[in-house]
Amino acid sequence: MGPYLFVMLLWLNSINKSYPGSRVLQDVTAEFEGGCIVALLGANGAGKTTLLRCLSTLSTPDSGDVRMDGEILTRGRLDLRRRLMFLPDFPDLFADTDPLEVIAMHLRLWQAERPGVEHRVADLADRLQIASLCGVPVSNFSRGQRYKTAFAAMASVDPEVWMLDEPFASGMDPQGIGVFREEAAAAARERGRIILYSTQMVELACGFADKIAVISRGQLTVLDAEADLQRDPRKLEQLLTARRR
Amino acid sequence: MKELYDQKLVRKLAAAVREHSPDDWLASRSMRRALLWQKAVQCLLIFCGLWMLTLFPNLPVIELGKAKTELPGAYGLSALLLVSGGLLLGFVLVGPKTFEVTPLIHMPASLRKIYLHVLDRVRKETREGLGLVLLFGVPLALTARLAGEVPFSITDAAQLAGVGVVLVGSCLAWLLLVPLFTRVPRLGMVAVLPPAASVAVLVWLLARTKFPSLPSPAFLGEALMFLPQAKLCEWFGQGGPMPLDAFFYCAAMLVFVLLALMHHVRDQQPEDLPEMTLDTPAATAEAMLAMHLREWRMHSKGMPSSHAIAPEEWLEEGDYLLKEEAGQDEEEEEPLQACEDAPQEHATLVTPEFRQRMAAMVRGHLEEKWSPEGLPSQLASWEPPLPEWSRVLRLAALVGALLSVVFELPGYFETGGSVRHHIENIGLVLVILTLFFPIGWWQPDAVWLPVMRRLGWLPVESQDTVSAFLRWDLRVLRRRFGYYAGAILTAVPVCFLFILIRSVAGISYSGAVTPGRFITGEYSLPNGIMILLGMLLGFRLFGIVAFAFKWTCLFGKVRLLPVVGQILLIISSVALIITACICFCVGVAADWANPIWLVALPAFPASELCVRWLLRSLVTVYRTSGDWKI
Repeated sequence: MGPYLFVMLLWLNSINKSYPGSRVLQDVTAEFEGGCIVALLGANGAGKTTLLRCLSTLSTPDSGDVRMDGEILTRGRLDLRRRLMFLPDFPDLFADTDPLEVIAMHLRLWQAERPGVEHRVADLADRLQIASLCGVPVSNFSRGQRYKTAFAAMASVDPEVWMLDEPFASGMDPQGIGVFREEAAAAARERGRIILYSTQMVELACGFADKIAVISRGQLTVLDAEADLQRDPRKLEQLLTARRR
Repeated sequence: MKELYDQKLVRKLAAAVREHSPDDWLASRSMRRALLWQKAVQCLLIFCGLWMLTLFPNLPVIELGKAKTELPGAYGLSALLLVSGGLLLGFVLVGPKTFEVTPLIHMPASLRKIYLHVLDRVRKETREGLGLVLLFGVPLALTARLAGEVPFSITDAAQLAGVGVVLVGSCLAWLLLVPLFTRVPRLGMVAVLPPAASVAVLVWLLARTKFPSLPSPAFLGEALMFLPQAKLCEWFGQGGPMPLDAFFYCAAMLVFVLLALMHHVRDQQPEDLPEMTLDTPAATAEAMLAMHLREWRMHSKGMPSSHAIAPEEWLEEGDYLLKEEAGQDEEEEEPLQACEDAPQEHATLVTPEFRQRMAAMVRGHLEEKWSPEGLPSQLASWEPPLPEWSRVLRLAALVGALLSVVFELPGYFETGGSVRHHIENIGLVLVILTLFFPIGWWQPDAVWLPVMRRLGWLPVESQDTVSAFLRWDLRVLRRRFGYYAGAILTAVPVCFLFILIRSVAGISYSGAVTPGRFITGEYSLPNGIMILLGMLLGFRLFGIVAFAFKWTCLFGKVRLLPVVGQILLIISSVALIITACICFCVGVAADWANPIWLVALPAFPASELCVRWLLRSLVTVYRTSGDWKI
């Protein structure tokens, strides 16, 4: 546990979500506390993105709720929504804005305009290698450059819950992925943030997570990356390769 | 030659998926059914609008029974009108969506097989489109018979056959012709081509008044190769030897268009296609099928996976576009550069000065004032671009002048004569097209949906968003009504100018000469403009209601609306249907002077208010409790 004072608690309470013809999430219950990095694994179509969308209020669960520090998270609770941020695998940015405008807009909407934040933005832009793109509309960017821009906005805002969809398959170059790992680790260890990301890369997830959350058959199983997996290394494989009934 | 997709193999694979993963299979089926239903409803709504647009202005087809001697001319003009309709139809069918051939490009299939695959898709699309055309065409003809005293020999098999050929030929030709102009904005083609053809017809008719030796107005069916299907329909209607030249012309055009179509569909970028959700059971099942198909292709070709893509295979058959693209890919991309002192390469560390400058720019953005809607100024960039006022007024002046010419011109021809009548019909179509297409009326959701998707993951107050939407909508409305008002304000003085010139010059005019008679005439200026405005409003509302229905009924979201919203939705829909029916019946009966259609006018603004309120409710509902994955 890091030296931070306040520990955020994110609680998923019996979440169910169905799409026409398929039940994606079934009675998903879990609890994540501040300072931990959670990797979300699962087969294609298992419901990883759906779970992240429910957590970010982009989708509404059919039943169940998400609680932040005991308060129910809904779309209308802007105060709670400002404490989290979701980065989809294809960030949908306004086409005519440049990276600095994108970041500034996020800072204002998340009310994170703290003194000196502009130097933090400049530092991130430099490390993510998007400084040379200042003044260029994001519509001209590659997918990786878009993701870097959106990630810079997330890291600048520094919400209490970071949710990222497929950051390792986002088109970012090794430099960008390295910055993501550094920033996420620092946010969790030093500032007590919850980092929740989905991925298909099992080895990467095992090396960069405190907890592994596996969605299989609509149900979520949370494993401790060190204790559970060392005790039973085949458990993760069994969960990931389980056939649907 | 085998088809690109071996249907037997596909069925086997589908059976395997069904056996091993029944949940995925069922989910995939229900998803496909939902998508099919959604597509069918969209097509029906669009065709309703298109057919009202193209057939509403007193289609000459309904006059075919008047005089057998005018049959070729009537067929020709019908063909012209239907060509306009066919062009729109083709635009709707081919424009918004494209045949997805990108995956095929990356598969080791020969270009010839892809051509055949696309041809098959085209055939299916055409069959679907023509089925819908006939579905709406037959009730239209029957309504025309029932609604007024219009002589229409419904039992005349030859006439029906002729109309059918015109209908099918025009739609098919234009459905396939549209992709030819892939480099030109399709909207521009739709807006320019039919009026240009109509102007050509008008010029031809005017030239005949000076040079009577020119061919008759039935030129479309007699002499020109401009519309060979008109010849075919004349042959159907009147018998005689088959016009082989027209037949071969159509066939050649078809082949040419299909070749062009192939290049068109191949050039489509994945970015143009709607966003797909990959994490669905349907996508999983399709991915499995695609994987097996790919493996099967590799095995059947005897190629290892490392040689799955054979570039030389794609460069066969004169495929120059791919060569050009390949050449472009080889060039090194230059880094984007907007700030002069920014690092030249992305990997270069920035200088301390530039870092300071970046920080200052961020601070500047943070200290900018918030927009009037209570949103950051950067967020205002969500607004779709609006045309400048000067452009709107210039366009309005042009359209106004055109209106006055259209209402002036018929008076120079014999009252009740076929030439005058044809000019009037062509003029009406011309005016309607010119009035409609600069403003974009058929896809209101195209403006809203991307914006909502982007705003979905930002913590923005729903009231602020709704307010911003409504302010933008108000600006659109101001421009639209400015456009109409400008057109009318230009048309009225120009019309009086024409009257003045005629009075001074003593030009003989078979129509109304005095302002009083002009205003009360059969095709008087106020009546015509009011009819056009009513129709414009009607179509606009039609699009909005279709949008609302698409969001509500189709996606099962009606329950999200408050009770008042549901009641308003029903009221506005009923009002729209009634007004549309009145206008339609009056229009089909060609009884423009009958004041009954005025009853429908007040319903339009009332309905529009209802629908706008409905939209606002929908936005609020979706912002607060809705599922954004729509």
